[in-house]
Amino acid sequence: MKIFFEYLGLLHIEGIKNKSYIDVDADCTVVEMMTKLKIRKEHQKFISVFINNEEKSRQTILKENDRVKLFLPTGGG
Amino acid sequence: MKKITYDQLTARNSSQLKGKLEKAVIGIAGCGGLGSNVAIALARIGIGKLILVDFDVVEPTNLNRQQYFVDDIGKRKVDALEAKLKMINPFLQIEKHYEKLNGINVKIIFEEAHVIVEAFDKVSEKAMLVKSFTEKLFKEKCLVTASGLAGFGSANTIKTKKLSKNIFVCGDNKTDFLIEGVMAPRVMIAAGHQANKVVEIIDKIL
Repeated sequence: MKIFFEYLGLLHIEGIKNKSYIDVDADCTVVEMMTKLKIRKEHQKFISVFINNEEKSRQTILKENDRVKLFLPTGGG
Repeated sequence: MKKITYDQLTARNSSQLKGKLEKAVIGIAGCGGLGSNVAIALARIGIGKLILVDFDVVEPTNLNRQQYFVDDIGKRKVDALEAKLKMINPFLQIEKHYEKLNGINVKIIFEEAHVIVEAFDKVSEKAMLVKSFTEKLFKEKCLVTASGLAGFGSANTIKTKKLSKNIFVCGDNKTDFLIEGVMAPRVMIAAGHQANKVVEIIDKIL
């Protein structure tokens, strides 16, 4: 199924265009999606998840056409 | 110290904000480059109360971007910042916490705040505060976080972006201090974005 995918901050995902539709497995969770996208485990623990502009847990099951945003802040302040 | 009135201090503010700013309580999570600049901006416009949280003392390496002086070196940041804020706005209420924020004390410390400003420098601490919102510790509050203010170069890549109904992020979402260093000009721009977003939120909710 297709979802709209956006990532912000420190994340750089090889081969995935930011702000684009991507294919994910039906009924997969956010964690499963992150693992499939090869997002490093040490990054995963600091990532916040937003689905359709709402804060969601990483165990949330994705639905067709969800707008998924992953946020990993960069350092500095 | 010379005496002024609250009306004099806020005389040049937007009239739309009259009666709102003095009721606002803002949490400042970290009193470094972002936090000290945001706190000063909010103190100047007559915010009612600031909750300052920082576990650190002022070091010489802080002076390139944080609102401290050479004479502040060795002082707790919350104490040094309080002294400056009081010189700008004697009407400001300040609650200080000289401690490290974590997933447990954050809820108690910021209980009274309408808006929380994330002003840490480490990724893990920034993520902890955003997570406290994503895990619904705070349902009615707003968070203004920052990501991407390192180095120098274009000032115009620093933006304010909405992550959800009550979480906003200010920065270019790209630059990192471990790679590019961190300096007053871009830090102050990001802090300006954060302070301005706080004002917009206060205008809406109070």
